[in-house]
Amino acid sequence: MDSLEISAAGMRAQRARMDLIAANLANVDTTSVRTEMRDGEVRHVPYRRRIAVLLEGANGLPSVQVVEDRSEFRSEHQPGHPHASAAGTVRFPNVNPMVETMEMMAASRAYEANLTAAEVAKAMHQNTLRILG
Amino acid sequence: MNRLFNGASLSASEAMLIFASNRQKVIAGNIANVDTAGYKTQDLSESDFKRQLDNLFSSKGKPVVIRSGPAEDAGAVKPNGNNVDLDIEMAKMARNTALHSTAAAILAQQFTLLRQAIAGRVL
Amino acid sequence: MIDKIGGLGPLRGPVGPGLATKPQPAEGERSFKEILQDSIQSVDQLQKEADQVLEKYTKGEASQDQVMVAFKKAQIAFEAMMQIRNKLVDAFEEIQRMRI
Repeated sequence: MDSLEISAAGMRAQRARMDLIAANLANVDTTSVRTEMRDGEVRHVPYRRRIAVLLEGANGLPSVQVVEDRSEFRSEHQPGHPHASAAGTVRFPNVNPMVETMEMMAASRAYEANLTAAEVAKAMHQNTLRILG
Repeated sequence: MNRLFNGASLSASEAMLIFASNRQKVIAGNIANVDTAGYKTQDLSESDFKRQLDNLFSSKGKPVVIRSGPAEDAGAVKPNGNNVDLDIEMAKMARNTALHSTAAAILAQQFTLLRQAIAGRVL
Repeated sequence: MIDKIGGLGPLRGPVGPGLATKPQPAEGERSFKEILQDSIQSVDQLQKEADQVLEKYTKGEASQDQVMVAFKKAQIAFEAMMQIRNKLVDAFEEIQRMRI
């Protein structure tokens, strides 16, 4: 396993992370992904935030685990809302756009760093070949 | 013509090339694992490398093993147990690239000179 | 006899049949041998200096530019020495041919 493969694995991990963040941001207002029975009432369940947890996998490469954020949904009183409960409360996804944006910046920066490392590895390889020239 | 070629420079450059190449792989691993839970920054021993170069420049033939292990210049430990500092690794990678290109240039030149001496003319 | 022909000009050193002479360089000129020896010295010196600059570079006391310049100087000195040596060999071979 060479330097290029390592950087490729890093890029894949950060891409998976960015995909999840993009999904979170796209669903920041998704107040209903499904319905459930709760206290004898049909309730709408909003989109639940998902995060990428990077764990050490085989060969010392990162592997991505998708985990649901179990923090509370945000509740607001909006009786007219199509997804409101009988009591008039609407539950919103536990997605904070600011947090997601920060995460996206961090993932993007990490992705670029892996890309730079891959380019460096390629340049070093070329330089080494030139010695034989 | 008692000492035509830089014995020390040739072997020192080779050592520099190998060290830089190996270190690049370790740095790539650190960067790939910048967000991996529990991962600790790795590095090659700079002091082992310096000792190897000292031996080569003073013509002591003793081989030196360059050890890898937890980095001396790792960042602070984050909540998930990871201590990779991207800024430190990027700076290290830049220094390492310069070392590699210097060594490669010297080696290429030394081999050209050797070939010229063998051919008895300027190539 | 030679005087009657005239116009030969002064000859340096003893002349005459049976006397082997070595052409003496004029004052201020150097022999080919000395020029080659000087260039070999210079190659050796520049290579030592390149070694030293490389060692300094590994200690962080010299820049990459300084290393490149030092090695380029040593290379050019070496190539010049090769050219001088080759010209000497060519000249020697030509003299050999003339003797025959």
